[in-house]
Amino acid sequence: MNDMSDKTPRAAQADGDLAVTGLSVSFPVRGGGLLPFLRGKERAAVRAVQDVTLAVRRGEMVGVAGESGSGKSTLARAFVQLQAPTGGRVTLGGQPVSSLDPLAFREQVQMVFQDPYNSLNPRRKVGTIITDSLVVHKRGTPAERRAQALEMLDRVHLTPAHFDRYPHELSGGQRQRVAIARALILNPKFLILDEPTSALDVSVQAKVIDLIQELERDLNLGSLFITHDLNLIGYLTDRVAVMYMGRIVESGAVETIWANPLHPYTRALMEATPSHKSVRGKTRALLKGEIPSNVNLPRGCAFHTRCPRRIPGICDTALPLPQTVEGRTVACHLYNDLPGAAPFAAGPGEEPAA
Amino acid sequence: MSIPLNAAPGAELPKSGRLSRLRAGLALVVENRSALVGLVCVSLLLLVALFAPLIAPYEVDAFTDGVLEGPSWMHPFGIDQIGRDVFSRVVEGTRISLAVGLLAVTISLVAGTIIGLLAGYYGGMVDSVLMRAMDIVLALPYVLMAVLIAAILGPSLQNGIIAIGLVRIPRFARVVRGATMSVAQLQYVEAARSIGASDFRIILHEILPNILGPLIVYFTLSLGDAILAAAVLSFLGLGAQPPMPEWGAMLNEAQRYLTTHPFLSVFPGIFIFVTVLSFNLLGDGLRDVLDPKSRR
Amino acid sequence: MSNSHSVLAKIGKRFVNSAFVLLVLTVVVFAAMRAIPGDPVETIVGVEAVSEETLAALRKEMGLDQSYVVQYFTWLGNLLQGDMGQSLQNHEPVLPILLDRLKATAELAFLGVLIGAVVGVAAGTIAGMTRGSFFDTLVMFVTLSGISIPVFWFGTILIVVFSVYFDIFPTGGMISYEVSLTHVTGFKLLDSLLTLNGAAFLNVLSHIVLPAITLSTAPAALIARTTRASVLETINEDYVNAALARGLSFPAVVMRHVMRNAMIPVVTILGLEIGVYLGGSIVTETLFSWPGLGRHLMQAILAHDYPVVQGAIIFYAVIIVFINLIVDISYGIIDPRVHA
Ligand SMILES: Nc1ncnc2c1ncn2[C@@H]1O[C@H](COP(=O)(O)OP(=O)(O)OP(=O)(O)O)[C@@H](O)[C@H]1O
Ligand code: SF4
Ligand SMILES: [Mg+2]
Repeated sequence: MNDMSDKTPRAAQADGDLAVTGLSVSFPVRGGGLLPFLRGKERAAVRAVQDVTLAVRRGEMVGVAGESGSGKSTLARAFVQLQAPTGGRVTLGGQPVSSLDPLAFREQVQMVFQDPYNSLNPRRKVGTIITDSLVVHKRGTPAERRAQALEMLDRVHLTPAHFDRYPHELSGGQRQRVAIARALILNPKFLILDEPTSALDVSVQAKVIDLIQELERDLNLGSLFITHDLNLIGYLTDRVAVMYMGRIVESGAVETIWANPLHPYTRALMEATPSHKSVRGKTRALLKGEIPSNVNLPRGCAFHTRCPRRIPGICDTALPLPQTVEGRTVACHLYNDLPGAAPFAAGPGEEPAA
Repeated sequence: MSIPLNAAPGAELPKSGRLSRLRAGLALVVENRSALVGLVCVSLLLLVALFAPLIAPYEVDAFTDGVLEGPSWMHPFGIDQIGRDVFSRVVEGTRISLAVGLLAVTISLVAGTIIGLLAGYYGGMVDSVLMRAMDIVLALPYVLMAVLIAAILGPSLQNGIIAIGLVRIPRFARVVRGATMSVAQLQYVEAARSIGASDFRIILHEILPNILGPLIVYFTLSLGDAILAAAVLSFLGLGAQPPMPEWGAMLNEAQRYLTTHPFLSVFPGIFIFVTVLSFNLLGDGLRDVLDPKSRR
Repeated sequence: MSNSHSVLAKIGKRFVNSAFVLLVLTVVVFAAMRAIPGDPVETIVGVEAVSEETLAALRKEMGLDQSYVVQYFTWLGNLLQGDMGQSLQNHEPVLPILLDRLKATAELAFLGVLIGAVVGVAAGTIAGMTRGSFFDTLVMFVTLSGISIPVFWFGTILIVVFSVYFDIFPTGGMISYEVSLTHVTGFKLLDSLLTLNGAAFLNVLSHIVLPAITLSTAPAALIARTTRASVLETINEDYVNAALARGLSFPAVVMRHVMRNAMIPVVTILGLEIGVYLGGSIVTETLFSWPGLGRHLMQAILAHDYPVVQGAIIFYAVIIVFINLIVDISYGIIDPRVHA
């Protein structure tokens, strides 16, 4: 990928932000062998994240919503450097993270995973799992680490008795508390949470959410909260980004968007969510139709195959560019002053030919 | 080529604490009849090996009064062609065979585990190169490997062990690679990476402990195979050399008296058979307990 | 991308892999033979007292004065043209001897594996169909014993019982001296049939029975266990239940659906374990004085006849790699889901 530094970042970045700019991640599709390569054809790829620009500030929680497969987890993994971007860059405090010492980065940015039944090593005790973060970062003596871990257990409302338990002896909610403790014991500035409650019982979810909110406030964290649950985003976060097929289609302050979603996809999502009565107009545009394949992306707006308001001849040819409308950013031709004037041709892939 | 030994990572044993988990595992072994028989036989063999000097009435190379005599009360397995007590030699042979099996399989285990971990964890080029190398080893059965090594270093028990150990490396590598690949995609590996753990640390602390189940099963099954292979090599003259009381070597010596004194060929053979059978029974049982998803 | 293309690509890839494996093996074998202690020239001339000049001349003639790389490529070039050098024992070219011995090995191995496959599939199928029965338990125990028994010891017992005690079969060899057989193909059972030589046929048959049974134990045991497992798996499939529901009898269903699926594990095992069975054939041939490749190899080692050792190892490696290739390819075609 070429250097993207000449592109002006679309979101203003304050110092200390954790941000991605023009981020793309694609996974080559396995198989096909050498032949297509020899024929000079482009290899097929899953375009999981495309040209995403998003910043998280300290003391702020940003929600990311979108259907399954829209690229939320991939975005999260790119934010914490578990996934190398195929385009764009990740910066911390304005510095490209690739120039940072990996441990120094991980000290500041931590992640909580979706499935607490899967994210804790079954062969290690809770205490070992939590102190391991400190061991890796060579912090403290064993006794100090233990003390710190016990303190951390207390912070996530577990007891010292849990220190010597194995994960399979804990409930789902307790496990997720351990996962949170593991992430926070390093004292990070940013926390990425990938559907941290979706694997939990409803009764437990609320408690874990309360804990996350409490910790976020106490520690002045900047966090990215990924979820399917729009209600949760409305309740918890300050800003929201709605993703569809790897792109952010609408983003801005939660109150603004929740009061009046502009993008047809955001509207559809909200209408599909039971407690959202606030949608203006009564068009029941529930999400219909199959999600297209993200290997062969639709031309133009990726949503046009399902969009109730698509403009024929425009939406299926030209990519809608993000622009500021009514105090938020939205990428939809409905709000484009010059329909069809998008400068680049549509089609899969924004990657410049190398 | 694909081996159907798809490992079940981290087969979960019942609740609470290391000790009680061990006890629960033992209980499962006991419930499984073949595993129990295998465990008892292997334990007996270990005892025989341990106390061989106490059990054997004669020194292994001491001459008795007779030559080529059939089984009697004094000499339950008979007397061989130069007057040695066969029972004493077979008992001593238990030591040799168990040690040989353990040494050979340890070579395969260590090398195969390292290769399998690297191939399974890193994938891609590392995987391709390592597995290609394993294909090369796979094209040489242990007899041929032993022939090659014996040609260079001369035939000896030690070289036989090396040959057997080398030949089984690819099989261990495959078992470990498969198990590693299925563990490596679990979220706790990613979680370890997210706190900044190095690859080495992840392999050692996150992956290795979770592939021990299939590894122990395969280790046990391999012990039987390796003991069998060592006997074959000695029988062919490529392993232990006379007068060492190795079972295969004893059978080799007995070969010349097959038509006249067949009893010389009976007892060492029975011991090889029972030993290998015991390890296979135990391995099969352990697999049902530790690695229920895989079947041979 | 079309499917036939990817199948072809896969086959091509397998082919390249196999060729690569063999190429590296030639390097290994060449290196091993050069690593043998002692001067090959002195080995050849033996105890005769020869002058330094003669030795040097001989060395030059054999190309031993050149670098190992040159020597290797010369050797490989000759090998590819079928020149494996001369036996140190009788100074005959190695390749024709080995090819001749290979025929005896092939006859024995074919019969052994055939017996193993037939017995194994039959026992495994019946055991699987009668799961938990006495027969099933018996098969499971006997097969585990079959895997655990030392091949050469089992053969020894057969010799003691059937040759020494009952005197039904000869203790070894392939054909008795007094029996004459016209050479047609070199495969003795086949030749005796082609020339309608009943006496020779029976004679070879009586020689081959014990070693073939010996050789068949390991494959029979493993095939029986795998077939049983696959029968158990297949019996639970919906289409088998559907066939039963349609009123087909149980044995008819087994013959139709289960047996067909059982062929896959048989092929797998033969492919995966071919090296093990060839190793077993070396032992069996040695035990029964069967004039095959394996016995020849063992004799060559004892005689330090390294050109023959080298040639025989390469022979075996080619056979193993080739059979694996065939199994792999036929898999890729039978079942496109198989890769790796
Ligand atoms: N390692 C990978 N290799 C290939 N494709 C991948 C990989 N990881 C993700 N994908 C693909 O990228 C797309 C986005 O996946 P991602 O997990 O980011 O979605 P998500 O929004 O988190 O979905 P969910 O809500 O189900 O978690 C999917 O089509 C997925 O199949
Ligand atoms: S750009 Fe067109 S198709 Fe896409 S969301 Fe807007 S109206 Fe619908
Ligand atoms: Mg996800």
